[in-house]
Amino acid sequence: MTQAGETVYRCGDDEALVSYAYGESSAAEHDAIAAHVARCAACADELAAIGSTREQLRAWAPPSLKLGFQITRAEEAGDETALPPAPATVLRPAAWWNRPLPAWAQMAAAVAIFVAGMALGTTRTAPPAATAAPSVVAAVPAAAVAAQSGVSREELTRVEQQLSREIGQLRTAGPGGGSTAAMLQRVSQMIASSEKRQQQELEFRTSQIVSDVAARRKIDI
Amino acid sequence: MSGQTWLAAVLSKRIRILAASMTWTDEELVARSQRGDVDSFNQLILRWERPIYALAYRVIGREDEARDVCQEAFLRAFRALPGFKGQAKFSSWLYRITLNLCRDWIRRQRRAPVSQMPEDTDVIEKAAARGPVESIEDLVARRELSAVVERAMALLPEEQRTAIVLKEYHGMTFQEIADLQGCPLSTVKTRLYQGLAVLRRQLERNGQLQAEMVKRV
Repeated sequence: MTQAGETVYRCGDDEALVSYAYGESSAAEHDAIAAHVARCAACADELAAIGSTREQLRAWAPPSLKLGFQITRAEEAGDETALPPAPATVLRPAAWWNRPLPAWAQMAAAVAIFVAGMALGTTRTAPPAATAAPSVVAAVPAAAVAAQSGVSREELTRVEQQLSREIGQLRTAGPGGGSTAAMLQRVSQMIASSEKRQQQELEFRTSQIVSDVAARRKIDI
Repeated sequence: MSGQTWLAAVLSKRIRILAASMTWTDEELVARSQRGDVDSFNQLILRWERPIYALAYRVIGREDEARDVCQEAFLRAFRALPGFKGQAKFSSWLYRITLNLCRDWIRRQRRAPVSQMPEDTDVIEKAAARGPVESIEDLVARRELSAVVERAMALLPEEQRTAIVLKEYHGMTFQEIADLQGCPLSTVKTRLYQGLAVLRRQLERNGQLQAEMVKRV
C-alpha cells in the first residue's frame, strides 16, 4: 500500500478496506482510502455493503437466560475427592439470596448503612439529656435488631449506656497513646468474638436446615 | 458481646467488602481469588458470565450447550487460577479458555451441523417455503432478522464466525483476535472480509425473498 513514502490504496485490497471499515487503519491509510473511496464508486459500494451487513448483524441477540453461576464452598476447601465428577455440582447457579448483589443494590445498602451510621453518631455526640431519650431513627433499627437477634430491649439499653460511658472516658482521657491502644485492643476483641459468634450462628443454622430437610424427606417418603 | 455490637461489626465488615468489591479491578479480584477468596472469584463470574455465555452461544449456536461451555470455562479458570501469572488480561484468558472449549465442542459435533437444521438446507428457501401467508411485518421484525442472521452465521466456517463474533459483539481489536485465534493479523482481516461477504450474500437473498413475498401478497 505504501509507495515511495506515499500511502496509496488500490481497488481490491480487502484487508485495508476492512481495517478502514472498522476504524483500525493508520492515519495515512485512512486518508488514502478515504480519498480513493471519494472517487471510486465500486469501492464506495463495497464499503457501504460492509456497513449495511454490520448493521444487520446487530439484530442478533443471544437468548436471555438466567445464569448465576457460583463457585461453592466444597471447591473452595479443595475437597474435590468428596465431589461427584460432574462440574455442575461445583459450579452452579446461585440461589438468589446467596448471589453477589448487583452494583445498584450494593450502592443502596452502602448508603443505607452510612445514613444509619450518621444517625447513630449524631445520637452519641448529643448532650446526655438528649441521649437519655433515644431518637426515632435509632430506636427503629434497634427494635428490628432485637427482634432478629433475640436480644432484649434492656440488654440493648445497657450496652448503649456502657458504650456511652466508655466513649466519655476516652474523651476525658484525651488523645494519649495508651487509651488509643486500649481502644484498638477492645475493637480487636470485639471483632474476634463477633467472628466466632458468626461462625457458631452459621453452624447452628446449617445443622437446623439439614435436620429440617431430613425431617421433610422422611415425611415425603 | 451483645447482639447489637456483634451485628454492627458483622454489618460493617460486610459493607466494607461489598463497597470495595464494586471498585476492584479484575486484576485485584484475581489476586484476592488466588489468595483463596472465593467471593472475589464469584464477583468475577458475575462480571463476565454474560459476555462469556454470549460468546459461546454465538460460536456454537445452541443454548444449553453454550450454558455448559460457559460453566465449564469458569470452572477451568477457577482451577487454573493458581497458574495464572497475569501475562494477559483476565478477560482475554477467559475468552481463550471459552474458545478452546467451543472448538472442542465443534470438533465433537463435526458430523452434526452447527445450525439445528439439516446442513444442506438453504435458510432463504426454507423461509420462502413458509408461503405468502406470513406477513411482511413479521419478516422484518427484529426477532426474525435475528434468527436470519443466526442461521446465516451458522453457515460460516468456525474461524470466520469466531472472528466476526469477537469483532462485532465483543469489540476486540484485530490484534487481540489474532492473539486469541493464534494466527497472523492479515489472516484475521481476511477471515472477517470473507465472512462478511458470505453474510452479505445471505442477507441480500433474504431481502430479495422479502421483495418476492411482497409481490405474491
